[in-house]
Amino acid sequence: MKRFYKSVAAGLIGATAIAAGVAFAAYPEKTISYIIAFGPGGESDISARLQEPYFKKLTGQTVAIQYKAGAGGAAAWSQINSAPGDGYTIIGTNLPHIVLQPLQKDVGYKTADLANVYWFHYTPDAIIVAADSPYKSLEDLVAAAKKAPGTLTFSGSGTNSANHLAQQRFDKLAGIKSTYIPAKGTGASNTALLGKHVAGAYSYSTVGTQLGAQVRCLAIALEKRHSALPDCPTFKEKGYALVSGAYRGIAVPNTTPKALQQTISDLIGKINKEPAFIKSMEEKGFAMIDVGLADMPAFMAERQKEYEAIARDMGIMKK
Amino acid sequence: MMPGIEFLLAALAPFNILLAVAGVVAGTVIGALPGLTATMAIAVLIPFTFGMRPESALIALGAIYTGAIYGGAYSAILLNTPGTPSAIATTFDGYPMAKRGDGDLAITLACIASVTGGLVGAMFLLMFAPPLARFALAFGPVEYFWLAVFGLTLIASLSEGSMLKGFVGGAVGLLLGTVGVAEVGGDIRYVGSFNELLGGIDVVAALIGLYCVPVLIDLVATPDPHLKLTQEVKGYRLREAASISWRSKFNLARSSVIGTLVGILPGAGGSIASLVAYSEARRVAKDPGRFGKGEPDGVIATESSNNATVGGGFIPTLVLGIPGTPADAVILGALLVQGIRTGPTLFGAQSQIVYTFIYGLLIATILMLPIGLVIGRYAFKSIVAIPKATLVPSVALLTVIGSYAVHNNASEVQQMVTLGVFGWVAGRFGYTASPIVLGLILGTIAESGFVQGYLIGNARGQPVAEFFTRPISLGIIAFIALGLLYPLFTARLRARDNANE
Amino acid sequence: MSETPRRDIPGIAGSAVFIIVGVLAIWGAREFSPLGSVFPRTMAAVMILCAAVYIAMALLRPQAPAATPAGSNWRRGALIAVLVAWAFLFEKFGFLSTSLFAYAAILVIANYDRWTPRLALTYTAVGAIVLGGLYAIFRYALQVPLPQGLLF
Repeated sequence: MKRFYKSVAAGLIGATAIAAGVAFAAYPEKTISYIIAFGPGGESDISARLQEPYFKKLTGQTVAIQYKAGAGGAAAWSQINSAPGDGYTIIGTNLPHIVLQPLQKDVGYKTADLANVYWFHYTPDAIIVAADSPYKSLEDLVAAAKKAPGTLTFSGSGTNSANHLAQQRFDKLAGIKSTYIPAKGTGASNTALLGKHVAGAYSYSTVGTQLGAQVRCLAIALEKRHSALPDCPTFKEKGYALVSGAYRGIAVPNTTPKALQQTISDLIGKINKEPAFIKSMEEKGFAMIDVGLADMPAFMAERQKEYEAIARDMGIMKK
Repeated sequence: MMPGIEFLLAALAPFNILLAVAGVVAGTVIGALPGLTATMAIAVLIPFTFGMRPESALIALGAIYTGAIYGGAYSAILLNTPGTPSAIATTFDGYPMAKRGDGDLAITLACIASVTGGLVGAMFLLMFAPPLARFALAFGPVEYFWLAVFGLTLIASLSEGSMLKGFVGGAVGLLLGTVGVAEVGGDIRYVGSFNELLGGIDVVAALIGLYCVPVLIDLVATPDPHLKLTQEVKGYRLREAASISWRSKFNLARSSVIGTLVGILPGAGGSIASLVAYSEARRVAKDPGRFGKGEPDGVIATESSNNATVGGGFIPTLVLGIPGTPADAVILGALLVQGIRTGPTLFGAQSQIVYTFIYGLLIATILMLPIGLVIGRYAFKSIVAIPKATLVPSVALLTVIGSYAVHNNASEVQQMVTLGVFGWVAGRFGYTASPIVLGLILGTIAESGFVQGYLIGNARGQPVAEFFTRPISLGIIAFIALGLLYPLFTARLRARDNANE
Repeated sequence: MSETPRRDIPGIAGSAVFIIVGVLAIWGAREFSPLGSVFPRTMAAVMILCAAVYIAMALLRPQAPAATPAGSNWRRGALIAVLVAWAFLFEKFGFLSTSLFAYAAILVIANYDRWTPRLALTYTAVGAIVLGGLYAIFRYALQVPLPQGLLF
């Protein structure tokens, strides 16, 4: 309720400002629509909800979070460029989704069609086992997999998803063969993990923090250990060059002028520098990353190459 | 162990009571509108709870949730359109009751049943949450597969006219469920050049289309009134409903427990709970033939079980951090934003939040009795009184706006209308909507359970045995066999009795 | 109801259509992965089998077809046409504009009373309240981004 009044007050102040002739006030002058390509309650939604107050704090304007779920995000991403490029429509984008989807099939957009302005955080891949699992370390797991190839089962969210990619890459790096059990979403994957229907799960650091003491994180795909999971070693420590995860960012309609794209990029970057924001993100297991507009082409080219290589190995490229 | 009285007192704080009342009212109204599901009601109203204390926020969300599940019964009974997926089975007997002039009775019955089921679910949550959460984890992919098959066996008894046509309809639904990118396996199936279908056929859009559009099409064809009013309006018919409910106390209890247990299973939810409860009520009934033709016990079974899933669904959500139903997933997200970490520790260190919330949920459920009766009465009166010329376009508008609002996706409105017209044509050929919808909802659960179970079994070197050796699976298989063979058995007994006389 | 038992011709025709759909579904499953094709193939096979058995039974044991509901078929057809047009055009032209047309059209289709100025006025008012109210609730209270399209 308080929020409501606040936003009314903010709106009134904004209206007065315009009436007073400050028509060329800096962007933004009104509420920004922030489209989430998934349903409510997911990590994209939670991230947006956590960013929401800082939009207000830094710009005085609110954001309206709207959900446009469907086709694993493709429903929203394939339509974003038909929205006006005035800076008042922004959309959450995800990697590897926006690279992998167009690789597999014509999904109504191409990776290059999306005007990404910022990547603000990522959820590092992690191997997680139940707390009372016999596998105490990554070494145990690799040894068991080598002894009986194919018998070790890992749940994960979805097929050809970030989790699936991580499983494929680790199998290759470690020279093992494991069985990936695709689940419908992270919740279902967690159920299989806690119910011990699988030996472990390819999941994210966020799941490790969320499930807490019920699970043990065996390895995390970060450069350095995560502050929220200090006992979880990195793959690098164990000698595997695996640094990966699912990235989240912001894109705008591709008709948005470059200068405005830069403004939005800077705004998201500023939110990403707020100490309280960083703290709440890291507590939940997210890892911060800052890829602004300037670094975007190089970053995307690198990711594109990386995912394409795996996609070719997995045989999921469209013919 | 009954947690302390101090939490009950905290739940009785005026602000919490106010939230419970507001939540139940908002939830009931939203749930009654076709296309607006409980999940959506919660998602939309979550921002309002961010300023509140966590337990108050939870009470508000729980009240909205339970109200929405109950509200779904209104449109199921009065318009043959389930307001939420968990009210599908309510249409089976609720709409025939309304058609013969007992709509007010059906709504009052639904209210009593919903409150009872809600209370049972919340009591289980209060007293046995941690052990029951472990029970939920024992259900693996194989068990989900058999549970879905159990739900599908209901097709055999649902099909009016021809069982074969029912099976064909079920297969159509199962095939529709495979459209799009398979979440489990990644195949892109039956999409063709329609990229809109990559995400699959949306269940809510299909529900609205298959149930509501045929009703609208046949409504405009004749000048007859929408619902028959055989007698003068009789008030709430509370006494009559109460005596029917008392007679069906075993049905109420059984359905509530089924609802709670199915609600605990992550991913199953109210639609499966009500289908299982319905088929069990039908199986043990003295005269199963009356089900589907306006049998009050059918409404009691579905409405008590689907509200029981509210309390049941909170069990894995709060104990394990795994959402029990889609609506719980949204609530879990809200809790995370508030900085509350669910899991076993929640019941220890933060027990004040949990138990205050559970008592609040109990209070909200009790409040649903008077609130639900009043709103139900109003809904019934208005649906009966509205002239057809405004009822039809208004309901049509609701179906369009509702199916759009689920995901803000125009292609789902197109799916809704297309399936609706298909459903009407199929109905003319003697193929009813319910088997198709059952196939659509249960098919994806059955398939992913099957594929995951096969993969796990294969890794263990026993892909077939995996399906037939696990104890819980065997239990479900026994129930499936019982459900299919029991009617034959009783029919034979009856035939022999008749011969002896 | 005719005295002599008739064959369920619509049922037979419907079953024939479903057999064709089943064959197409199996044909469409040819490029799926083995695990992805098990389910659709099995279901399509079940569908073909049941539909075939139904045709056989309907030919052997004549049974009355499902009763054809009485009533005006032009009104049914008109309603279907409006619904389809509405669903496929509202994103392009805007939710409010298409809904205004569709609501009015369906109202006319569904009305059996004689049009009097009084009735027309009442129905216009009801329609405006329902449409305006729902639009306001969804657009502003529930923040559903209803498409504006070319018109409004």
